[in-house]
Amino acid sequence: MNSTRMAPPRTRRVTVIAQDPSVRRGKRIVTGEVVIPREDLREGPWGHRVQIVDYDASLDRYRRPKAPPKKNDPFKDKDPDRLIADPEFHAWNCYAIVMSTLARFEFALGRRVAWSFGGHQIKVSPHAFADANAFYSKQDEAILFGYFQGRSNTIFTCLSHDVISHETTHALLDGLRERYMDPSSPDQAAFHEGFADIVALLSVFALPGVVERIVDLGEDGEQEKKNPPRRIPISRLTETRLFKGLLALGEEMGQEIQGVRGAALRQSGAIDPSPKWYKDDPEFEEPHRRGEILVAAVLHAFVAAWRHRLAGMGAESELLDDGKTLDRERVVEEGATLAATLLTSAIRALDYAPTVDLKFGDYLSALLTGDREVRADDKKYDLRRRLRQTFASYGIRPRGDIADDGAWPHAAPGLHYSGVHLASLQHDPDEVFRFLWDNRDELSLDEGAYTEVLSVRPCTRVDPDDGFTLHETVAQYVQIRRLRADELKSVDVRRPDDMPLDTEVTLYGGGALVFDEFGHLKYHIGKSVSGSDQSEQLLRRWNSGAFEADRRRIRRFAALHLRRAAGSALGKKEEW
Amino acid sequence: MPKKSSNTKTPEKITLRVYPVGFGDCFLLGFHYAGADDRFVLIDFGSTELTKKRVPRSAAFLEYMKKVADDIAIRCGRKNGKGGQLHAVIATHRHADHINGFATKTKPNAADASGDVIRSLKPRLVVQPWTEDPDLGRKALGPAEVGGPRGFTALLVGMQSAAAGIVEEATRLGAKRLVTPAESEETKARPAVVANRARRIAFIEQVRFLGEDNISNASAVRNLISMGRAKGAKPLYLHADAKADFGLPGVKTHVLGPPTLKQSDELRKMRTANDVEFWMLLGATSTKFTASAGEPFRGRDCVDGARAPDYARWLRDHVRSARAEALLSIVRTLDKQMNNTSLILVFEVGNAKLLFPGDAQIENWEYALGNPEYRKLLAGTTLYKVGHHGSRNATPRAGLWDRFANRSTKKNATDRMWSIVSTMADKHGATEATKVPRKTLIRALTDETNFRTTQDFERSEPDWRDFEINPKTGHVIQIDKPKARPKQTRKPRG
Repeated sequence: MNSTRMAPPRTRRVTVIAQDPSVRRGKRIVTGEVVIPREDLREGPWGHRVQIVDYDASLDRYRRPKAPPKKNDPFKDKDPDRLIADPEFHAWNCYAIVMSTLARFEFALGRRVAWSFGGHQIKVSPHAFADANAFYSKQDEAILFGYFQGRSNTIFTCLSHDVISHETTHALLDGLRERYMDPSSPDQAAFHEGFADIVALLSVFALPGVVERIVDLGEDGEQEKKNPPRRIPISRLTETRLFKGLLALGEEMGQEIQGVRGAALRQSGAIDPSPKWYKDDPEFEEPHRRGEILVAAVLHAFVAAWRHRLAGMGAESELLDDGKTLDRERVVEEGATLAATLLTSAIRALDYAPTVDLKFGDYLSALLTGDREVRADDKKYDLRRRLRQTFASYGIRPRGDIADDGAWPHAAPGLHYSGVHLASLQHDPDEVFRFLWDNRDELSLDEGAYTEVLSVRPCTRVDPDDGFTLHETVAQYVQIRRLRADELKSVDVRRPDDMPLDTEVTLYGGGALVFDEFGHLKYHIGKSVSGSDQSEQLLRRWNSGAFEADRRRIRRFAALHLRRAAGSALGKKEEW
Repeated sequence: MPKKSSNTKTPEKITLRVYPVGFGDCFLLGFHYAGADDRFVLIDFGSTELTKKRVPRSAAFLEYMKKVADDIAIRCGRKNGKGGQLHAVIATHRHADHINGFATKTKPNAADASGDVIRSLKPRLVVQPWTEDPDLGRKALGPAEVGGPRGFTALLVGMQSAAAGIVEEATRLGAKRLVTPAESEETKARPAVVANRARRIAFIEQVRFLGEDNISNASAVRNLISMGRAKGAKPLYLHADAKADFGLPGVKTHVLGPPTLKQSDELRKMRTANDVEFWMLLGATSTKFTASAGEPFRGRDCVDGARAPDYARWLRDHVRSARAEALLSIVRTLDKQMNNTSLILVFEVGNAKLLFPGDAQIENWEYALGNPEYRKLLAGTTLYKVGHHGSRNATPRAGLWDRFANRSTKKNATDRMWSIVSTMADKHGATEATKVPRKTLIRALTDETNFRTTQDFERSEPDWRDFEINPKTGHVIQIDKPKARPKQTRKPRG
């Protein structure tokens, strides 16, 4: 490197397919720009966090990569229809979208985020097999994308933005909250899928080209016009129309992949607001379907907040010519910006979510807390109220302080800090454990449980509106008790009636800790390792056959996707 | 009104000949009436493997199946190569291990194959599940229920071409080419990873085995259709609750499965539009991309996987084993769906209740077990053809097994139930839990029923076993085999 040169910018904007080749404006595939870290790539592309290896197991073929592109944005202004036939572009599209998803996590959480398998570089095969499937596999340290014969042409899952983001999210979420893969409540099983869809969809909506499509589709027939009017009457920008546009986009997205994967937007958008799905519809006990309820609530909040913002702009007279219309570009831009803001909060919420036994209401409180911490002033979008409303319309209530604003209550005063060192508290698990031990009564920890601090991470979060920063340290711990069924009474947990007395039972508790920049505990989001919540969870695990010895966790995502496609009924009690 | 005589006519004796066919099924049930009126019902005739060397399409395999067919012919009254008649042929479902014996000779002037022999026995009835009806009207099923106008037949075709593609791919992934490095650093450093990979390599053989079973056996399927359409014959395509006339006086034949889509919520779920689409796509994908001409980006800097650079090889090994695992799970799902089209039949004569459920798995059973009348009927089972070669999920434990009233731990109890399994170990299932036959099930069968398994029969020659069932009491006895191999020693009956 030439040291006299000015430091290059840290990021670059690169062109990708905005959603997938089915989403077109006119006849042209919609493209978009994503922001990724600037780095010196090897051929592949192969960077500091992602290695693309174009290996195809169905054909046992390896495609040798070309030298990494020299241009800043190598596929800018290329004809998208030709790009979809270019394997170099496929590799690039995967690289860019995996990196941009990672970058969004790191921005939202204000720190480096590791892949769940522990290594630094995830491997990605853009054409891993001839199969209508794509999945993240922890044991293979890879995301594998399939290709298959569609109705008329070959479909490449590596060209679908939402599929790439979705799988990348699995690879990151599993590292951030490793216990979410444990059998627990239907909510927790559903969360991985629902959250991955939320990240995928909001990432796609953060691209103006896609938002423009939503606006076009919301206006009846307008999409066919070559030159849509530059200004839109504000009376037409209703929640109903914007949501209609969203649903119509859902119809376009992944058209060719229908029947193979749940089309997240289409499926979630079709779930009308009602508490009945979440409360007692057996169909929504299935993880994918249940996850869609979470996605639906977020989608409605997105549209409501967008509408709120547009109405607010309408009131600010200087933005209007005549008080009745809004500039089309501004409408689109506001939608994309809001999507990015909501996405940041949705990811940030993970730090404020419990480490075990997550329920949707916990996630809502985490979302409200994290958003409030960084974006204290919510006048612009009125987002937190919209979130509370739309989640409530699906029967999901915050588990935090319901009387207040649904966020988690602050940690009670009177904790002991005398034994802990502030500096170590920001990175040292032993130091955090000391803190826990000293405050085990105050924090209602179970003294008899095995307790382990899983991670301690300092982070710097940025308010997307004004750039103001917030320094926090987040830590998580688990508590584990292994008991025989006949001992469950001693921890106030009810033994399922038909569970043999000598069954070995493991109970998980634990929590997330959020310290402020002075090392004081702001939030403790804990779940007890004993008590009635555990009884309910245990009964459910027992009935679902989670105690089967041969239940395998490996490649759960791959299996889930297949099960969804092919259906399955498990009568555990009927098997030998 | 039927004549009084036929109304009171009832079998004097019931016999069952069980042929060892390795991993497959072949049962010849005989209903013997007064006046030398013997009516034989052949329930399934197929195998996916006899012995290591005798696999389908090998000459030794075909020869063996032909010998079985010849023995069936003699039993049905063939003398000096002439005559003989089968009353009915039942093909419980279209898996190769149940029907490939019905395949006919491939060339017109070749020697007869097993299927030709069966055909020459002119079965009066050919009984199959409703899903096999070649005239299955699209409307009859309700297109909305089965996912578009292509209907159920499209689903079967999609599934079978997917199976064909999978077998081809598994062959290419081949166990021999997926070698675990014996003494690499990885072996020392990450034993768990290596063990995992070794386990998955074993999957490949499983994939091939299961896949083969699901490939369409066109010749057998055609023969079954044409035997049913032959002069003097009648095809019966049955579903649960069907009132079928098997032409066996004094024998009540109950059809407990497979349910139609309307009857079964579970099955209906499995046959949604998505489902048909899924298998169709998979079928099309396998067909297109397993042929080398279908490679995407052919020739563009592509090299054989073995020539991938060192830094890509780790992933190559992993993707290949991941693929093996994925294929296995696809092929298992496919296998299960096909198994669930199985006929479940109960033949009831006096106290004798003979249960033949093919390979039906729990989803298929669910319908019958939900009906109190069927539950009562099943509880009285006196002889049970163990479902699906003794796999873990074809003998519903709570719903069926626990209800069998004639189970007994007393070996000499006169009413003790009988159970017979036709199976072969180490062919099916990669883990202890999925192995066929399933150990825990076999133990229960051994402890609580008079249990026989074809694994104990010789397989060098068709070493069949005979059983006799008393139609009044339902009691079963095994007939000792004559020491020398009999040519035509059976006494004429009556």
